[in-house]
Amino acid sequence: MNCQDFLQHVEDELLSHPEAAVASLRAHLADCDQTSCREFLENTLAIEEAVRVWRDQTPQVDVTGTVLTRWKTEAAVPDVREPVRPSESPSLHRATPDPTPPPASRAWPVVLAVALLMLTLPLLVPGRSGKNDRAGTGPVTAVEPSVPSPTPSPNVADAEPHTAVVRDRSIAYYNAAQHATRMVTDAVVLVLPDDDPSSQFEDPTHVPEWVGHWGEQIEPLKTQFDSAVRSLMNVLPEPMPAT
Amino acid sequence: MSDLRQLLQRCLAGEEEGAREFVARFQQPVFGLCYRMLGHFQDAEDVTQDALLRALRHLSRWDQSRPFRPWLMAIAANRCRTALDRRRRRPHPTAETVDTAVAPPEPTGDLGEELQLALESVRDELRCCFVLFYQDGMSCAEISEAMNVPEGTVKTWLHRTRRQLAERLRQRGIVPETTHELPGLSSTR
Repeated sequence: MNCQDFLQHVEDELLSHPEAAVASLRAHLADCDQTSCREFLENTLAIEEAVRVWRDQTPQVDVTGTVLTRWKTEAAVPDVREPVRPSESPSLHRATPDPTPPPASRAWPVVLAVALLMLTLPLLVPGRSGKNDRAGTGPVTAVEPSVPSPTPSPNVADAEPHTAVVRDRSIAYYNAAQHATRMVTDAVVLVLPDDDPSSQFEDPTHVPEWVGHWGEQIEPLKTQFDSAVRSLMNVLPEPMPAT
Repeated sequence: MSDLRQLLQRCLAGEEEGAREFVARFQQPVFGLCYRMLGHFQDAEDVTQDALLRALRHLSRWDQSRPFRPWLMAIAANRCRTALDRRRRRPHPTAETVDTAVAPPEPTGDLGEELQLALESVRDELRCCFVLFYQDGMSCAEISEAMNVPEGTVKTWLHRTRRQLAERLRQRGIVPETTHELPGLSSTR
């Protein structure tokens, strides 16, 4: 057996019988003056000795009280993210990696975004917004030709402000649509798990981090919603008393 | 094993004393892995709590036909990986604030500390594999189960880690440079 094969054999033996491996290595070196063999022995002895010291240096810990307190707290408040299915509890069964969280918890950001969008819609409907809309019921009707009148009417006199209102409202609609699109996009991004696909381990209890930190994750949505409402309120005209 | 199974059944039934026994029994090996993976006591303590709590919470998912310890250590290893990922995502301090911390620490002469320092320079999965084998005494088959890789891969990782650690220790002057004499032969183990 040449040195390379021998070292390969010793390397395998080191994992099962390290002392025997070192002994056979010493015996080999009695008749071998190869630098690689000597270096292998030196490395092996250093690692074995370092591991022995290192293993004894692990500090002790006691987390019993904390874990039990948290466990009891969780037991008192059922985890809504993972509803218990009667058929699965309490018997033991094969551990199956759960790469996706339950559908209910995955879908809620989208539901929330859609709800926010629907809340925004009434603000876009002039008839229900409480604003004074003398031009009609919205931007489309606002550009319809008015019936000619023999005498000048107040509507004609207000032609310039009316155009400004239509323009401002168009900008508002555009901004609102833009914000709404951004909200939905962010919600979809939140739904996608950010786990590293190249992970080497399989955690049977893995739950994506965003589920636990939804408050932080939803913050951009709230900001954008506030921004959309603010821009709407800024450009829409104030309600005027009926004459 | 039947003793362990009874303990787990008690935990599943929500028995507090069973849970206490469970934590007392497994906290040290879990903490050992976390401490060696994270290199920080407080972080390791937090992750240990998290891992044990998750194990208790999801105990019903454990396959009783398989060994329990790899399942538990897989949870701990994944918690460590998540903690390490989170730590890496944190913004790095500016160069002005860490100009003294860039240089590696001087050799302490303590073999254990030097090994831990060297261990922190190897890849996460190699470190995890090494800790499970040398600290927790798990077999290659159990590590294979815990890390979800073939047993041959575990052996390869262990050999590679040993080589990298030896190289690192040699760079730090812990392992003497190879001479033409046979220094290892005279040492007593």
